[in-house]
Amino acid sequence: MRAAFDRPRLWRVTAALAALLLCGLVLVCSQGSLTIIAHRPATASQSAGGLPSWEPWCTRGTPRKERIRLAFCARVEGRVLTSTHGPTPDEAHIAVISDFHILLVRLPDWETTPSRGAKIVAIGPLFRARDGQREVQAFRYETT
Amino acid sequence: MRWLYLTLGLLATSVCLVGWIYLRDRDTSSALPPAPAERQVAQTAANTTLNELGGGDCGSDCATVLGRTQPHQWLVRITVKGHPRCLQIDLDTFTVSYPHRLSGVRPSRC
Repeated sequence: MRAAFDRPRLWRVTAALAALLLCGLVLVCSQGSLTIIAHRPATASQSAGGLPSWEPWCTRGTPRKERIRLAFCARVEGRVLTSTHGPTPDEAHIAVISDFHILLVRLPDWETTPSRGAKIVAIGPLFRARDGQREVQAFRYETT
Repeated sequence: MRWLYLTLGLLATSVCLVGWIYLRDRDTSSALPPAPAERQVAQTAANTTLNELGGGDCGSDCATVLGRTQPHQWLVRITVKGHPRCLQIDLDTFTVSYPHRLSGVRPSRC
């Protein structure tokens, strides 16, 4: 047993592989960006002032009622981890890694799900999903 | 042996990174044990529901709190005239209004 542990060359290789794995994880997880607008702008002048250019997309749809709303709007840019259809036939969700966050994106009904690793941008209100993660109901969605 | 320890340290760091990212934005309130006060509120709501359903002459065994299903939502078993049934009580919306009208209560599977 001790002989198995006493193999420095083997462990040097595994250490290098583990370091590569960690670097890869950091590289993947650090990609993208997440911007959240907590509250709806009170006035048009405030809206024209310090808000980002994508803010008008936040009101281009009907927010769902049956979920706890966490923020007025969010824009997520990141890579697709996985995608699912359901629970209803016209519903699709993707999990996105973005700036060390995992978010779910509920796609518009007509969209097909992107492939794993694809880079996407989604804009819409931010909710608490059924499984406890945060979820963007995408009013605007595109793959880049 | 130091390479072994370095390997283990790097792997542990990777696992911690993934776990941290997975959990950092997640709502963990449903995984935590509920506060005792909320269970008492649920028991009171269950007793009130039992009274409104006409089972008030039964003992406390007829209104049993089975557990929390979601934040502020509790599953209770109400037994009226020997017939048990389960109800979901939403503590945020639970009200009783005249005459015998319950809100925030809906049937559920046991």
